[in-house]
Amino acid sequence: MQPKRRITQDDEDSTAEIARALAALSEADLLRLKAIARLRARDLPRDVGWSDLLNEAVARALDGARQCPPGVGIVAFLAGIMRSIASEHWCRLRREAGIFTLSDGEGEADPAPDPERTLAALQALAMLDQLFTGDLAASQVLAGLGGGLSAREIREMYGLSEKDYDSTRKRMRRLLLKHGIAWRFR
Amino acid sequence: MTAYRPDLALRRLLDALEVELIQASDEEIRAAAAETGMSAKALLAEAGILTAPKTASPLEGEVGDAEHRRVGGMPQPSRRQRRDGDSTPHPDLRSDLPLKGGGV
Repeated sequence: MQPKRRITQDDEDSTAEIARALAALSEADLLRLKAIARLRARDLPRDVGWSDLLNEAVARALDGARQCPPGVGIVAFLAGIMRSIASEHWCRLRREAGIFTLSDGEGEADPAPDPERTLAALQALAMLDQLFTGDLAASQVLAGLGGGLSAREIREMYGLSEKDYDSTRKRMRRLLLKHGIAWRFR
Repeated sequence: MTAYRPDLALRRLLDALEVELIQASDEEIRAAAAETGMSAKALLAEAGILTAPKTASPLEGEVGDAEHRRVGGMPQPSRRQRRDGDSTPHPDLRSDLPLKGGGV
């Protein structure tokens, strides 16, 4: 539980600023948020929808529980909140399931996952693989990104030129956007 | 030998793809939306994003400050209002968002 802190004028101003930024979101940014929420919801159990995730992020942003760092756009800010929510969700499930490790609560970011978390991750990875079926370069980039490789390392590992890599990323982005915007379930 | 961690692989992947989406140009997004054959407003309104009264969410309760959540479509008074003794619900800021009344 987070310690309570005094609400300051800065907090109120910050919340009003977030509300203004949300009200000013362009359609392109709203669709961008939807695509991001869809993507991030893949890291959550199937009963949690992308709209739950996005609405929760907006609620937290307006609540003032999270402060938008200077220079960070509202879309990136909300994306960061969604990332945190997804992470917290798994931590909460672990607590509720009574799964504890020695490292829990001691600052380790990545405790060993429980079976449900592992299964959900495998399913999400399979879904992403399937999305890029037939595009070898995209599958290679996907594997590299999942392995934590940098762009240069991915290019070197799979023999992709800079141009190939950039055009692959563009194809991936287009497909992610198209599916992220249009998927009408979950 | 390090055990394969699908959860970490997925997180790295999602983080990288998220950056791609954040950096996508507006033109790319409009083109993708056009390919779906639906308007942006309709696509977002399908789930009542940013507009509908908040209903119970599987994520509900993960915020310590739950008392600030909207109830029955109206927001709870702000912290400043409560501090100043004003407990009257006020119009929801989110109702002024671009998708107000959005539909097909």
